[in-house]
Amino acid sequence: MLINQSIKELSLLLKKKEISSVDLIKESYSKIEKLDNKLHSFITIRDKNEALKEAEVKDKERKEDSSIIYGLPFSIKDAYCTENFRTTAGNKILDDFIPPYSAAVYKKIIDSGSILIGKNNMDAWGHGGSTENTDYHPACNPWDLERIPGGSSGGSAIAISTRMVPFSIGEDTGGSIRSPSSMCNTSGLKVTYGRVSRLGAIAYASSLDSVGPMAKSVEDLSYLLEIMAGKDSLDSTSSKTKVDRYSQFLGAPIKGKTIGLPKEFFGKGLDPQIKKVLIDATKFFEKLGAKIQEVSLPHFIYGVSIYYLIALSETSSNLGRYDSFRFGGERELFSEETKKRILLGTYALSAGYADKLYKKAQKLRTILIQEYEEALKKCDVILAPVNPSLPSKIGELINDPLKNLMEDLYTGTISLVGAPSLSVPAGFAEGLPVGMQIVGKKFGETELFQLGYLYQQETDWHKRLPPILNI
Amino acid sequence: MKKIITKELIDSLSKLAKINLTKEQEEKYAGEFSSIIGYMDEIKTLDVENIPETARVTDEGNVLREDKIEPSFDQKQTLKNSKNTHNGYFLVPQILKED
Repeated sequence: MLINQSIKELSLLLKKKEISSVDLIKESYSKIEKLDNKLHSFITIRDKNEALKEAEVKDKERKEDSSIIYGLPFSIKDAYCTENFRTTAGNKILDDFIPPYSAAVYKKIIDSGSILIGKNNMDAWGHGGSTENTDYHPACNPWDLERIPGGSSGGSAIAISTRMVPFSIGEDTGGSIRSPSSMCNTSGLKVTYGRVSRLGAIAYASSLDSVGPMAKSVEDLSYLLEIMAGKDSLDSTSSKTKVDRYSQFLGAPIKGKTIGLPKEFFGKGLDPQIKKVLIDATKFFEKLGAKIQEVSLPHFIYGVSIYYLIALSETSSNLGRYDSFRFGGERELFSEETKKRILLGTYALSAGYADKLYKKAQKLRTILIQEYEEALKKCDVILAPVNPSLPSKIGELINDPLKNLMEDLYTGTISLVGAPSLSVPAGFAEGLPVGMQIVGKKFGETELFQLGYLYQQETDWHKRLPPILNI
Repeated sequence: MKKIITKELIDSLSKLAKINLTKEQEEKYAGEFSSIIGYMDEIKTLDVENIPETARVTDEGNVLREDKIEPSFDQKQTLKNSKNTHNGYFLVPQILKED
């Protein structure tokens, strides 16, 4: 299985001509053909012959200084516009939408020479944390087909977990990269807001949406972010902050670093099995010389309310543009979950309620940011759970709207402050993967990669493969 | 539980958002929204006086650029995803009635 190797190893083997891009593409498609009718990680799969032809050209034109991802297969969440290739954002309104342009991040990956395999399944518009609110087929967790893979970038995490592709591009508004990474045993990064251009990403909530890499390891993520990050004149919220050579700084020692544990994140609502995984990870970092410091974020217990009031207000506004005149189908086609989110957002913004709900949430967002900055004066990074519970059975969350919202308890709150957060595999409970978040200062991705890399040098959770690969 | 959100309110929200709902959906959403908004009501008691609102988390300030013409989509590309076009225009439903 070639795709089990790291991006760096694959690139080296390709340059030494020990393997070819054609080999990799064939392996990708054979996995997809064998498994995807059970997993549903893709909405649209690219024509195989077209991808093979592109691989032949890449094999011929590869140079010594070609990008590290040159000639590698990849997939991308269907939330990104891909020129002349169907883009649905997981919903039927855009069932036949063929974008006239490409998302900035997609263009950067393609320009570096990677080969698109297909567009990944997702909760429609990013509305959900389970990839079951898709208008296509609900996706299944490769570790247990009866359970959700997390979401909304569930399709991407499944494709990486089963080694259909070496990497994918996800999108995270309130946990959409971190949650499926945790539930499928893959690594994913929610970047600092503004680190990667959002141009061509179909919007959920514009003040929270972020574009990030998903892969098998932290090392792979560091290479990908170097390619993806940077200022884009067409996204005014993208940042001018210098992009680090993240991969060059891996391997720094942890001694002297302080890891903060917010006490509010380990209380009521957290599955004790997940808590145990997190405590074990804390002990691991302590053994390596890190200092552990309890911190407090008092208003984070209101995080879910604040997050949803803001996100749903923004989505009701963003989805107002879908009038079916210029592109897309009728508003009748919005799925049940999306209709509810639009209506709740409309409520939070409507006359008489906006001051009590939307504006109040924006003020509380300010308090969260202040508390977060205060906490980070006492520590270098924060360690936190990703999900409060193990992956639920498919259908469970749809029937329990409040539980559905609570899934974002630990991730949505971090999105509100705009901080970066790395989700890495940290153990198992009942045979299901459990991830942890390493959260840092804004534009502190380098530090997150260093800690995550160190953890993955000493543990093998991220190397474990789902049982479906043995069938 | 007390119905904070009534069927009538759902009906008016659906008109504002141009989302048609069936009677069953209105009934169901009124119940679900009551429990969600009921939960979110927890923020009502919090004191936020003198706290500024946060609408964005970047420190970029105003982002300006020179006003010059850049290449863009041609008419064909612009119209290709529309289901109703006429003589190079998007066709939209009539909104003014003839008297």
